[in-house]
Amino acid sequence: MSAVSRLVRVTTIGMLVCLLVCLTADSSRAQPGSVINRENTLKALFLYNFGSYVEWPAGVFASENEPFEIGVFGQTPVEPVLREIAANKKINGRRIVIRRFASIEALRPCPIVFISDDVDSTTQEIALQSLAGDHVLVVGESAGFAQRGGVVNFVVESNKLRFQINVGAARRRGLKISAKLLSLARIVGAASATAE
Amino acid sequence: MRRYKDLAINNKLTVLVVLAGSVSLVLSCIAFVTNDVRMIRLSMIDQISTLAEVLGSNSTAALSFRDAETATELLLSLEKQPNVDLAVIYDAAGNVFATYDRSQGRQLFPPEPPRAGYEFAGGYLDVSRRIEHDGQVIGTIYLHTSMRELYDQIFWYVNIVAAVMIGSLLASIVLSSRVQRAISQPILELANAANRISIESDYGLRVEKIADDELGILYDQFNVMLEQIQQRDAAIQRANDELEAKVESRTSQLQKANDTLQREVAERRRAETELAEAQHELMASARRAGMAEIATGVLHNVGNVLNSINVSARLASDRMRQSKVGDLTRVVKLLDEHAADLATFIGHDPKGKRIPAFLDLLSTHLADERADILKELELLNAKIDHIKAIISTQQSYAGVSGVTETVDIATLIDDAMSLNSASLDRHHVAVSRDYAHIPPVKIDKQKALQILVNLIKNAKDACAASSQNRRHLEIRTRLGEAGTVQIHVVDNGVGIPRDHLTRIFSHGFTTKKTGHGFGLHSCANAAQELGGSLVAFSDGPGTGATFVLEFPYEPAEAIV
Repeated sequence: MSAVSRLVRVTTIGMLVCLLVCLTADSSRAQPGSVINRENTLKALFLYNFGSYVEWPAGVFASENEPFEIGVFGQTPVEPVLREIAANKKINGRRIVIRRFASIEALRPCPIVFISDDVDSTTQEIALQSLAGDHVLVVGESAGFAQRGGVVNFVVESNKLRFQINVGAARRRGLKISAKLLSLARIVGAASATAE
Repeated sequence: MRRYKDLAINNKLTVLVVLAGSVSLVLSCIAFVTNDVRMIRLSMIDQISTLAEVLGSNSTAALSFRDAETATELLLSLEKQPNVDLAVIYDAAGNVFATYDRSQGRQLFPPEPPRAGYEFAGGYLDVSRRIEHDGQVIGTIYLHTSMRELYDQIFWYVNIVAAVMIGSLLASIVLSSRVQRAISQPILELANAANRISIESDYGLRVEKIADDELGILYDQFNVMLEQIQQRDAAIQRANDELEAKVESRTSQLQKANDTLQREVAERRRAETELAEAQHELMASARRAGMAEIATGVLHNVGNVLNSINVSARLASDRMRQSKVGDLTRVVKLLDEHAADLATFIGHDPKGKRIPAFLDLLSTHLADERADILKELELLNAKIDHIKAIISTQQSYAGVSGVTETVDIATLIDDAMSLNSASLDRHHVAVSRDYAHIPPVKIDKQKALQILVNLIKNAKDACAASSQNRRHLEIRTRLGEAGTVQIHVVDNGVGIPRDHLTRIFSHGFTTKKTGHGFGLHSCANAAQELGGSLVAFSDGPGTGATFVLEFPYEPAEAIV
């Protein structure tokens, strides 16, 4: 139907306009204090939501019943919130299991691995390297994380939690990110991709 | 406005065709419009539901990642959907997440997500859909869509229907006015024929049929009916003639019967006349009886007077018999014997000496005697005059009745009284008079006297029959209010029982042993003949009675 196609077209244009507005507002960083509580909650929610907007290659899950593992590397207040969500929700019908990696040695590939701000940048680099060959959606919350090879990075813009996506890094890891998710994200990584 | 059933048949047919056409047109238009409206509504539901689904699907990520701005941007695309006036996205908790309002704040959002589905209300289509992602409901989208378009469409439909209606009505009028002639023309002709027949009363007229349809049958039957009417007319004429003959014969019979009846009536009238004559004779005999009564009174009075005349005459004759005339004869004889020596005889003879003294005494005696006899004779004369007067009174009333004379009422009553005076005296009835001043009147004197004599006689009889010590009769005269003269005869006799008060005037009614029942009856008749009335009053037996004779007061003309 023409109306629907028109609507889709308009929606796309609308999203692009929205993105443009968000990018221009990137530099203005709001006071994190007022956001801190909500920020952790939102980060946990977003981590959970990524599970349904990203498609992993068929081999990642051995069976139908295999739980959906989300790894957390580093000490972070996001974890308890995430554990709470995991207790109540499912992703694509799978149970959610939170794996906490205390050290770089313990780090193993999961569909989603969140590397917290708590982990120092060198260790983050090593972690990224170690997970480079696996189908892992690596999510960080440090400045330039996506540019450095991470797939997703949380940023706070105009007092709002947003995320950057390195589309190249995602493609390299065999991940298909939904257009809907992309439409909300800040697309980064061109520089990083060329650097690699 | 004329009613349909009074319209001419051609107009009726036109109306029929036009009405049928327009009704079917309107009904089919209504059906088409209704169906179209239904289809439009269904397609609207379909369209808006799809729109809600697409928008909901596109807004899942925005909902998941709490990006209200993106969701609002998404809803802004509804600018291109002119009918969607309001759109709201609610999050999973039911809070308003993003909105779109074409009218910039004039519309109110439902504060909570409406139930999934669609609803037509207040000229709007409300569609609400759940937004699902990964098997979970993450929000609701609500679209408030105006039905303006649908209404515009209906408006256009109605206009088109109206235009088509008018056009087809005109067409059907033109067509039907031509087509209906085939039916209406023969009917109108038939109606004209019927009209002509009824005006001219010419049942010999016949109509000619045009076609062999039902109207053709109607024409034939019409002709048959006319034929029958003609025959019936003839039959009626015959019956009428017969009837007239019958009426004539019956009339003559009636005439005969009438004549008979008239004869009978005449006979009856004659009988009535005879009866009246008999009654008249009876009346006359009653009057004669009254006259006899008067005559009796007269004779009685005359007898009384004759009695005193007799006494007077006897007195006179006795006196004459005892007269001293014989003494005088003897003196004359003595004087004759002594004629020669008359002087000696008178002077010397002892007998002779007494003669002059004797003569003197005799003359005195004779003079006394003469005076006595003269006195008796005068009395006699007076009594004879009395008889004369009685007889002349009787004579004066014995004249022909029905002649009015000038009469003084008081005199009339006194005359009546004097006719009864002897019997009144004999029965010791005291009479008093109370006369008003009434100038002389013109009246049938004899009838009035007859009545009064009768009334006085009755009063006297009533007094005589009662045990009353002081028998009393009073006669009063009064001038009545309505120009009448009243004569009251009041007695204190036996009175009249209440139930006899009217009966006493009827013919043959009497309470007296010797009565004949004519008296009061003839009195009442006579009073009527005087133009007046006779009424009796009594408080019952032993209380006396009052009879009032009343007649019109006709004053006598002044004597010139």
